[in-house]
Amino acid sequence: MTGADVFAMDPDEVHRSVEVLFAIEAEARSQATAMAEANARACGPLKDAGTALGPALEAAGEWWRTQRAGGFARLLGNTGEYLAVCAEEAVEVDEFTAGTFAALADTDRYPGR
Amino acid sequence: MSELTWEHLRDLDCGAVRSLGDSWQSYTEQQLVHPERLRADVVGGHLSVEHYESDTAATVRDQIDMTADRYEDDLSDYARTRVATTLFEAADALEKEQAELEELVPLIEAHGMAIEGDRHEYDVNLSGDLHRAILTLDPPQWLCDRCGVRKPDGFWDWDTLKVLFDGADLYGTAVGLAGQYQDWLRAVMSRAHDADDEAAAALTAMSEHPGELPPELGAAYDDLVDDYREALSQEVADEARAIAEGASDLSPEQVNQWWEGLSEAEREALAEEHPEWVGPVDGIPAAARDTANRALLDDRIGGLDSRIADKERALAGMDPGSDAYERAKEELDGLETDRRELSDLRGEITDRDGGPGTHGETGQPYHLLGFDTEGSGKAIVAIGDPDTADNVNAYVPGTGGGLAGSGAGLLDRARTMASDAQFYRPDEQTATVLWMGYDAPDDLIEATDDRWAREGAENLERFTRGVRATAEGEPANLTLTGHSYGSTAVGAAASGQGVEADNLVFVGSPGVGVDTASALGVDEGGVWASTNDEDMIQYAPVHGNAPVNEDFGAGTFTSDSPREASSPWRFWEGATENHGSYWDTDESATGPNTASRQNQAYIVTGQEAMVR
Repeated sequence: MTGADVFAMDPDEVHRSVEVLFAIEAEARSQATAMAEANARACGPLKDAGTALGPALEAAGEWWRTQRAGGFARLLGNTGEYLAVCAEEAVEVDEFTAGTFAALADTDRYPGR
Repeated sequence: MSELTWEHLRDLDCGAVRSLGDSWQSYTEQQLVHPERLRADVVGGHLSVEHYESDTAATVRDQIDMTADRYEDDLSDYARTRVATTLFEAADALEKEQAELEELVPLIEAHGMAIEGDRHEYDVNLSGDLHRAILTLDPPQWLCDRCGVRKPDGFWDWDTLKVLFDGADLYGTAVGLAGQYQDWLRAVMSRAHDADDEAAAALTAMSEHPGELPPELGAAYDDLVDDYREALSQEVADEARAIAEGASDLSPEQVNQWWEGLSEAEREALAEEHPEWVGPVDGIPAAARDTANRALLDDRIGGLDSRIADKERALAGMDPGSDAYERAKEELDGLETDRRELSDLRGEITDRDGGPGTHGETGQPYHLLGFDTEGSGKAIVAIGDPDTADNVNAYVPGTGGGLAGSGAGLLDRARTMASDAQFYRPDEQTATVLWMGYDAPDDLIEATDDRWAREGAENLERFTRGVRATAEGEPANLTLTGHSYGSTAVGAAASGQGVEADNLVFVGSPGVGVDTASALGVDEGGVWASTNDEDMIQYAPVHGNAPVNEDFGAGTFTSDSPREASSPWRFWEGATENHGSYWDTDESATGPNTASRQNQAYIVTGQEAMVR
């Protein structure tokens, strides 16, 4: 991913980017959960009525929450963690895993992660 | 599979389904803020080049852009098009059938009848009380009124005796009415089950082949992101193919939303590289379909030329007395027939310079909406633009219809209808469509079987929904005009799948598969029928109650029977000839069928009060 000829960073600004990414991640997750729950509640009467729509809709809501909105949130979380490590290390980061974030990032700055 | 009972359908809260659709819609709008914020606050803000410049920084900015783009696409394709639109369509469709039940069930109960049997094929039978009432010579007042007898007062007077002698009529009348209610109920439930199953299929298909998500940053990212970008470039093509092949389960309205969501470049690329995925698809605008289909038609004709040349070369080296030669000759004949029919079709819709042609009398451009050489062949040709017209009239031909007829005879009728619509309603635009989108029976023996109509029903349903979806501005006043077996096809689609039409016109009909206009799922005031008094079809109501019969409940209009037998003793000629005389013009040997054409034009152009 790297091999830079130029490297310039304002770590504070990068940290702010991370904060935005984590904030959107959290919002997207909670909003998707709320949507999926409302969806599941509405599916109850449809399932009781013997519709094909009811079970399909419930599965679709859950799929959306976990796979698509969930996937979006996961990507933002991953990118945020990567950037948090970059900000802390202030060098190009080639090898990155979730463990790297736990080991190297300023977790005081991101409580709850 | 839908297991809705009529009671479930009656009690279903369709408002809650629609309201959930609204919630998904609002949720989609709410979520669209996130990608915007990512681009503005992160990529263009805290993480911009002035704060962070390196290869890694550039990669991360690209990653965030890709993530934002993907989420926007997901919100559009899944949350809005798949979920919210499916819910709106299901709520509308189920609510429409619920309204039918609200009308029908009280009628069944008020007439002493009962709904029995399986939810997929309900029976409406006379209740025990009604049986007893008839047997004890105490029939209800409504039944006496229908049979034209006075209700007996309990003594063995003249009225009682008359009822006794008319017992069979009383039973016959009651059973006949029960049969009409049964047709109606079955049609309602068929359409409701269909709408329910279609909605479920659209939602289920969503998760079966989802678009890929961008890879996470980390090891092997560079390789993975290249794979992702490659998959992304294929995504539109993959989706277009799935839609064209019917694998996506998107409704025409959803197809239209998908199409409108593509960039102009993506649309052009699809039409140019894969016209077969654009031309036949209901929900894509007529202009784009026309362009794609004309390219496809040229390709098919060119391909047939090559195959014919190959086959001729092969035949030249074969023994003319051999079986192999006979088989090859038969194949060559088939190819030449296809070539001729496609070439005729192209000739009809193309001007002298090879550009799109126009109908000489109305000046309207032809739009080729589909064609096929399979079976008896298919052709869907619009005279005028259905997307911008005030009125759309789709003519569905019957027995013997196919690609061959679209080159001349059937298209001539459509041209006559187009001219009539413009003549009788010059202030409005009417698009007339020759809809030969089903495999019609080849002869009268095949036409006694309703399977051709049933098999074509889904195509016709999707066509009508496509017209609604692609309408620019107010939806057009849409009429389906079925002639002969074409009316059976229209009836099968209307009662079985449900059609989005304002009017159904049955001309020279052998029956439409149900015994009452009520079962057709459109406003009964929009159901019309006509059979001229010479037409032989009146002696062959093989697909149920003739729609011109009073108890069918359609509005009827006059059609002349201008054609005559060539000599008095060839009396049958008039009967067979007049089955096809409904669009006769001044050029016809026996003159025009003014009454029929005028009445049809009035219906098609929304001037029903003028019908006589």
